This record gives sequence, C-alpha cells and structure tokens, in this order.
Amino acid sequence: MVRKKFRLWLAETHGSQFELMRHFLSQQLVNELLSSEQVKRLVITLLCVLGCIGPLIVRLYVPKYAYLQDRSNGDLYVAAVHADRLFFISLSMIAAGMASVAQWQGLFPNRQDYLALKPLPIRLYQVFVARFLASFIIVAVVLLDLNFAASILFPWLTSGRWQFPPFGVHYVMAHAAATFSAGLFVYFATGALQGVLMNVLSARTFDRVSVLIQAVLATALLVAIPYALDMPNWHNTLAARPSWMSSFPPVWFLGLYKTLLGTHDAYFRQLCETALMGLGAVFLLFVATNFVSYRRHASRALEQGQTRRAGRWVRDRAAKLPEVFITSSRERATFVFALQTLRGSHRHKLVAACGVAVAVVLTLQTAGSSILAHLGTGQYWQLWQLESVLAMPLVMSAILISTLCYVFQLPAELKANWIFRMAESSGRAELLNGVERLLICCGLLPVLLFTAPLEILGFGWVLAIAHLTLVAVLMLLLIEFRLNGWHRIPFACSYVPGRRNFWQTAGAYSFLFGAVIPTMTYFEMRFLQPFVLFACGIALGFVYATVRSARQIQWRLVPLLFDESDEPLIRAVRLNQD
Amino acid sequence: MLEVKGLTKRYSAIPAVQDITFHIRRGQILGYLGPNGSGKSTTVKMMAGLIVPSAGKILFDGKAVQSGDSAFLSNLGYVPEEPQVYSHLTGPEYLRLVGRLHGIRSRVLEQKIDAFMDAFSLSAARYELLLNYSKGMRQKILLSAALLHNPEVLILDEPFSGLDVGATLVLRNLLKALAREGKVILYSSHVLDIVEKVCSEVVILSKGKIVAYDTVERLRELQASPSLESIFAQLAVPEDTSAIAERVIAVMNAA
Repeated sequence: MVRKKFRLWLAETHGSQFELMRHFLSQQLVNELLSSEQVKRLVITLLCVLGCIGPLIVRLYVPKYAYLQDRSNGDLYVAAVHADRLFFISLSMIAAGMASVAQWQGLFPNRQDYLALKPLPIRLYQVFVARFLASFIIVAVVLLDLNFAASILFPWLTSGRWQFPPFGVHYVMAHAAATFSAGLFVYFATGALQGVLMNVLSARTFDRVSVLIQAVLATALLVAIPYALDMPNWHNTLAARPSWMSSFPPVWFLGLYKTLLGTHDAYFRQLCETALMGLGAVFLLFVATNFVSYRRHASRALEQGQTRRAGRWVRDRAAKLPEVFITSSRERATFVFALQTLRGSHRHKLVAACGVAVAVVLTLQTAGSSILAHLGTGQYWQLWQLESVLAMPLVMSAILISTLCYVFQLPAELKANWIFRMAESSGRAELLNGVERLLICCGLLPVLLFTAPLEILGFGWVLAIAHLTLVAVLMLLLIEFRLNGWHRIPFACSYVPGRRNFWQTAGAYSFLFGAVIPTMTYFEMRFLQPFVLFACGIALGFVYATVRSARQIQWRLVPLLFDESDEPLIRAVRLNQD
Repeated sequence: MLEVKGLTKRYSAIPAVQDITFHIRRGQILGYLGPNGSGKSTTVKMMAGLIVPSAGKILFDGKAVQSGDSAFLSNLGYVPEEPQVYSHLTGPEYLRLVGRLHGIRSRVLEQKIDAFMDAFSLSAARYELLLNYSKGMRQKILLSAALLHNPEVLILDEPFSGLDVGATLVLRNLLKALAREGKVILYSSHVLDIVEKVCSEVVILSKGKIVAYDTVERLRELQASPSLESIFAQLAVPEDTSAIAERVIAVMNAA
C-alpha cells in the first residue's frame, strides 16, 4: 500500500527543483553503452557488493576480537580497534572519492544542460542546486550502503570487557558519523577542487586538464586501496602518534570517532577539531566557488567553442606525420582516426589515462626503488632489484596494450560509423592493420623508449638491446594474441559490457601477470647473456611471423564487426537482418 | 544505369518497403518522395549497403550489386538523412578520414579538401570541431565527403537540410551540373519545390510502396494538378490536413 502510494507520488509532477533533480539523477545513471535494464542490474549489483563489504569484514574479524577479548591486557585490543576504525574510515573515503570522481563531469551542469534548460522558466541556480543534489544523493547512497551494516556490527563485535564506554547506540552513531563525514569530506573536497579550477582556469584549459585530473584522482584512489587494506596492521604506528599523522585526513575522522565516544585524550580532541574544520572548509569552498562561478560558468559553457588550438604549422605537419611511415591510405585512416578519437573524446581519454597511470604507478612501486638504489650506489643489481627491472617493460607494455584494446572497444558516436561500414569491402585487412600499428606505436614503442636508457645504464648496450629485443618480440606476440579474433575498427562497434566470460578474462590476465611475465623474468635472470636473449628473440620472432601471417589471412576473410549485440551465429546466418 | 528491382525490406516480417522498382539513367536526377515513415531512408540505406534487403536486387550498369560490393561502393557518394559525423574531428580531419578510406592519395586529397572547404565557405571554420558546426555546415561537410572521390552514383537523402539560401542555390546548380556530367543521382527529399525544379522524374512512396513513378509533367497531366505539392497531397497524404490542424489547436486549448 505504502509502496503504491509512493509510486503514485513519484509519478506526479512536483516543483521545478524536484523535477530537475529527478532529471539529473536519472541522467547520472544513463550510459550510452548500457540499456536502462542493464544500468538497473549494474546499480543493484554494485549496491549489493558494497552492502556486503561491511558484514564480510566484520565476519573476518570475529576470531581476531575473540582472541583479543580473551587476553589479560586490553592494550592490544584498544590498538586494534583504533586501526580497524581507521580502516573503515579510509574505506568510506575511497568509496566516496570513487563515486565523486566517476561523477566528475556531472558535478556541474554542462553545455547540453544549459542549451536544454535555459530557455525554460527556471532559475539558473536551480540547475546548479539540482546537479549538486543529484550527485550528492548518489554519494550519500554509496556511503549509507557501505557503512550501514558495519556501523551496527563493528561496535557490536568489539563489545566486551575491554570496550569503554560499553556498547550502546552512541557507538553506532559515532561509527556512522565518522565514516559518513569522512566520505562527505572527500566529496566536497572533489567538488571544491573542481570549483576552484573552474574559477581559476579558462574554459578551454579547464576542459583540457579536467580529464587529466580525473584520471590522476581515480588512479590515486585505486593506489590507496592496498594501503587502506593494510591499515588494520597500523596499530603500532597509531600508538606512536607520529607528527605526519595529524596531516592525514582519515586520522582526523578517527579523532571525531573517539571524541563522539567521549574521549578526554587531547590528541584525539585536537584531531576532531581538525576534522570538523576541514569538513567545514571544503564545504564552504565548494559553496563559495559555486556561488561565485555559476553564472559565469553558464555563459562560458554556452559561448565556448571547442577548437584545436595548436599552431597551424604544427597541426599541418602533425597531420602529415603518419604519411611518413604508413603507406596505405586506409591503414592511415584507421590509425589517425583512432589517435584523434583518443585525443578528442573525454571518456576514452580517461580510461586510457587510467591505464597509463596504473602502469606507471605499478612500475614505480616495483622497479622504482630498485633503480634509485642502483643509481644511488652504483653497485651491481641485487637479485630482487634485477627481477623488478627486467619485469618492468613487460608489465608496462602488457598493461598498456590491454588498456588500449579495451578502450578501442568502447564506441564513439556509433551512428557515424557508416563511413567505415561503406568502406569495409574495399580493404578490410588494410583498415585493421591500422589497429596493429597503433598498438605497436602506443603500447610497445613508448615503453621501449622509456626503459631503454635505464637498461643501458644498468646492463650496458649489448645486454640492454638483447633484452629489449626479447621484450619487443614477446609483446608483439601478446598483440597477436589480443588481435586474434579482432574484427572491429576502434570506436566504431557497439559494445555490450559483461558479454565476455568474467572468469575467462580474469583467468587470462592472471595467467599473463601471474605466470607468463614472472616465468619470462625468471628465465631472463637465469640466462642473462646477450647471445641467449638474442637467440630466444629470434626463435620467438619466427613464431610471431607465423601467427601474424595466419591472422592476416583471417582478417581478409572475416567481415568487420559493427554491432556486438547480435550473437555471432545469428550474425553469420544473417537472421538479424530481418 | 542504376536499377532497383523488387527491393523489399522486412523487420520481423513487418514490411518497411515492398517491391520497390525504378531505374536511374546516367545524367538523370530521380526525385524520391514520400511522407515520414514511408520507407525513403530504408531504400536509400539498402542502396548504400548499410542494410541488407530482404528481397529484390540492385543493378549498376547491368551488374548485380551485392551488399558491401566494393566496386559499387567506391563509385558511390552518399549523404545520409541525419548529419552523423565524428564530432570530435575538425572538418578537414573528417574529410581526410573519408578520403583515405576511399584510397585517395594524400597530395590530391589535401588539394581537394582545401578546394571543398573554400567552395562551401568553410575555410574560416577549418580548425573548429564538427561539434561546433551548425547543421548546415555539417551538411556541407557531408556533401564534400560524398563528392570527394568523384563518384558515378550519388545518393542524397535530404541534402538541402539546414542549408542557407546561398548554399541551396549552389547545390541546386551543382546537381544539374553533375547530371550533365553523366552522374546517376537519386535525390530523396520532402522539399517538393526543389524536387520539381531539379528532377526529371519522381517516385512517390506511401506506406512502403510506390504510388507514382513518372516525369513531373506527366504526373501533373494524370492528376490534373498544377503542382507537385498537390499531386503529393493527393497520393501520399490521405488525411485532411486542415482537420489535423484544427485537432492540434483543440489539444493546445485543452485545460
């Protein structure tokens, strides 16, 4: 009955502010890749996964707290509770950050919004408020979903003889308030950052750096996950109270947590003050930058003309560059089109930038310290250092090639693909050769160029060239593996997410990063001789040439794929045509 | 000569167009008319190889054209109904993409792009993204793309859409000049006065079927009508248009 009434209420027309907010909320969830049914399924799945995280963690903590409660001394218990609270706060911050960064383009109204809504009898501030409310509701739902169960279960789990004050509603409230405010801090900080940038930068510069910042933030949040997972082990660090901790936002909210529980510890009270001041500051900055800029933002968005601003001389020369190394005009067409789409499309640029960032971060985390140690001391590589340096180009290249292949599958202006559909019959293999060349140019060559100086410095000329030759052949084989069965022009085919078997994909990547690359690295370490590496490179080169020629034949025969939604069998017998 | 014989397209057994038959000689412009949803664009898309016919065939110079026939498609210039372009590219970048897909050599292509941009008064916007182009400017880019490789057959679906008066006059003269050069031109449109001025023969389509196929003069005689518009209204618009207008006013005034 209540549900029916609520549905009827939702179906009614309400005030313009509510209607705008409803419009933006549904728009935030609209995706050109997914149907509304798929979006619904995805949202439900994500909410279920998020909702399960809290109870799952609490379940994993049961033996730990059973052991800690049984100890005769409560010090370790207190330290563990602190570390776990910090973990929940950090998790909340990461989730809110992810939700905010994912909505980066939707935190403020865009040109389309203004074009569609400005002629209607609504105030400009209402558009801004509605956009804000829509994004806020999404972040709030994420935070609520993630923390609801944990806010009850975690204080309940830690209740016992060492818990002070004893378990009660105030514990639940303190946990909920600390995790929720920590998440809101990240959300408002993201909004404030965007607001400041919008006021400081020109519309064009903002547009350019926007994707870069979004990618950096997304990568930073991804990188933060392993650190957050390690936080339950930080009890010694928390007990030591190092000075850097007072500038670490999750700890501020630990202070809030403790203060809400009635601590008299001046250290935590000070942290609580910092948390509240920080939250207030980012909120005020968010409101202020919005208030200052909302009119200007509208006029700039409407008047903004997106042009390619590079100098004409540079542009004209850059346009001619592919002609130097690609003779076939159709191959050049695919190659240049894919590069231009990567440059011009925000969504594709963002995914590609995240891939690059992950590759760089992983490399710096594994091989960076080894290289710095080697460069600093000038000594020979230690075994562990050698392993990470040898694996570096393989890992980077494999991530870049996989990212590019994924990005190529995401369509751009699908309806415009008719020019490729009409051109398919005149040179199918030539069109696809552009994809191969692009993967080599963007996924392999930059890595070789980036790592070559380091390898030459570390191994000397001959060994470095031998190693990089082997890496190049291995990565060409990986490209062949990815291109086997690839029959699409980048960005010109529809994409159905989740169509590929998850376990198959996960298995393939686990095999690549968990078995192939470590085995190859071990082999390289074991036989680090120029002759051996060259010989392996040549032998694998023959394998590569054979596989490549087979694939070239396949490319000439199999029609290009422009619509992934049809089952291959249905497409083959053309049942989809009627 | 381009011949269309018994062309039919069905979606889940529901026919979109049925048994379409006509031919276009070299140097002829055939007008292809019909109300919204009559099947004009479906026919055009089948001819451009974008959708596969359920039945019937297309012949070019006596040879059957299969779907995706490269020899035919390399001789075809196509302007789609909607200006679907890659809006993250600039005008010249888009033309370069199309030219490359047609296998045009770079030097020739660059000259052609400059000339087309100049002829259609788009030179000032050459560094603008297509996203910022007006509908008419996009239409000019699509026309340039269709003419870039000097095709024998031109299939134009609403080519005048969004064009200003000057560009409309240029295009009208251009179509006549192209016909004089012996090109085969199919011109699908709603704009009847241009069809009347440009086309030698017209096909009128209604609910997926041809209801008239003749020269404009002959149709005038047969229907005893002074203009193509009144012929079209008789053949393809069965409802009373004044009554529809009255109904709309009534809906607007409803409380």
